[in-house]
Amino acid sequence: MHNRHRQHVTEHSTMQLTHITTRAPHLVQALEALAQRADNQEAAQTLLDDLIGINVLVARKFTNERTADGLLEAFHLTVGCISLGISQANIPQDGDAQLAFLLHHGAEYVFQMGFRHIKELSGLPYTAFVSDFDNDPYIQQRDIRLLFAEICRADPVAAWKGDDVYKRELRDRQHNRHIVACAKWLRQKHYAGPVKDPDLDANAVIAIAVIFAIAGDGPIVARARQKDIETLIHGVRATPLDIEAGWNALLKKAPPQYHPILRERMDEYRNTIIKKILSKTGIKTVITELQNSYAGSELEVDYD
Amino acid sequence: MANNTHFPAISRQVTELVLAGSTAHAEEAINETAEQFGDLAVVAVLDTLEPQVAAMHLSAFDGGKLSLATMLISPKAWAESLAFFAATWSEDKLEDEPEVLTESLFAHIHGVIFSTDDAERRAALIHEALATDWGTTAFAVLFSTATGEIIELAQDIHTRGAHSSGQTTSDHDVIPLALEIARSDADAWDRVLFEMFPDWVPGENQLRARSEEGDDDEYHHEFALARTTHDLMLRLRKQVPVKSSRAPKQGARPSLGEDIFA
Repeated sequence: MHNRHRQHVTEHSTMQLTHITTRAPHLVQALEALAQRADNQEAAQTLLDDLIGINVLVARKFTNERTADGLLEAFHLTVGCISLGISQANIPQDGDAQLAFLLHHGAEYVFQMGFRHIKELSGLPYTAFVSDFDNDPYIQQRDIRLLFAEICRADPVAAWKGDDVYKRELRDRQHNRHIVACAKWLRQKHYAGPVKDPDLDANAVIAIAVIFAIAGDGPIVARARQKDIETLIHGVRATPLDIEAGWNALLKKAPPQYHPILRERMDEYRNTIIKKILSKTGIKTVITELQNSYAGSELEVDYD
Repeated sequence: MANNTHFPAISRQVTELVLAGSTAHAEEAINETAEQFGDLAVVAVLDTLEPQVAAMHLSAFDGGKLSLATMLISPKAWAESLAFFAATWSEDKLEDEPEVLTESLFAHIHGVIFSTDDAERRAALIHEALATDWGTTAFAVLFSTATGEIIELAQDIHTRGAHSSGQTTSDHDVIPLALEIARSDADAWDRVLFEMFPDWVPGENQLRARSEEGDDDEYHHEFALARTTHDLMLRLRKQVPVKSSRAPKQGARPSLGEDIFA
């Protein structure tokens, strides 16, 4: 039988070889294992019936079950979604194990698993920015659709990397969720009482808190006005202070799960924006940079 | 018709060959059937093919290529298969090159109807095809490529009768087909005209091609405007049957249905 685990070897130089392994969608691997089995007629027929049914349902919901184009598109989505379901199961990644899993649960349930992964992924924040739109059911449906099409489109005769895309996307979004949680905690502890705003620029909140913490062991600042920034800059320029002590105080207050995020920011700012705040750089310049690159929409601009 | 028991097997074989994309081999199997068991056996085999399979096979042959299947398929089976003709019409093709699609539809219909000299068979083919909604739409698609000529012909037929008509100012390809319909089945002819001109009230308004300047609304009541070829093609595609008649197997686990998205 035709081996789909091809190895493409690209020659970069005479000395160096790069190996890129491509693999067929997991469903195809499972079906190839089925083709090797003796007495496979009945299982094949059941699978075929299930797959056709799923294909039609997908076409009806996402593409168009009345055109060849729509059915083909849905076919690719079906192959990908079932492959995603198989790929995320805790089983050995070989054709036989995948086939056993598929036959044990049935194609429909495996599709459902894949689709649930997509829904779960779509529930995680795409960026570290929360807005009112995120709760709009229409937007939520649209996001599921987009992710479904992006990750689950698999051509059975071509390589498929949707499972890798899924893993990467899941990692990124879990990270975003972590950042958002950290920012929400900071807002909750804001010195003037919790900040209540449906929109949240999590990175900006963290930036403000980290920057204000250089002033020493004071209250947490999660949102600031331009005046506050100016006061801060004047203050720290007038009296030399121990920045690290202020940051350690912030870390002491924060729950340990947020320490890596906060530390990362501190390392990033130590030699950049903090230097500028402490140097003789014009205050306007510093504030402009803060607005553009750090505090974003969490910094309220005073016009008076 | 020596041995009927062979037919299901042959029919299955032809189906498999067609679905595998090998119309040439399927046609060969049909030829062998004809040689072994006679033409009637071929008719019986074609009748037992699923209509979408028959459509797939027939659409591989047109006026340019002769096929035993196009000559022998029963009028009823052909009419059923027509429903699937538009199944492969993609959005892009409908927008970009509709004439390619109408051309292939024309070649197919023209090829099947005029592949025979037998007037009775021609009449039966026309009758069965135009007894279906999709068949009527399919013919309307063809005629809409020459709306002006069809109007002229329709008026001619109205005043002089189908049998003494036919002298139009054009020699458009669809005219012989239109005449064939009008002469063999007056009701079918009317059905196609109504499909082309949905607002037509005979004796009350005039048939009219849609003008390109877009002044259509002004004459709204005086004239019955023609549907465009594009509209009719979309109508035809919408009529492609969607089958989901999966007989649940004994002992199989119950289907989740829409819950696969839950």
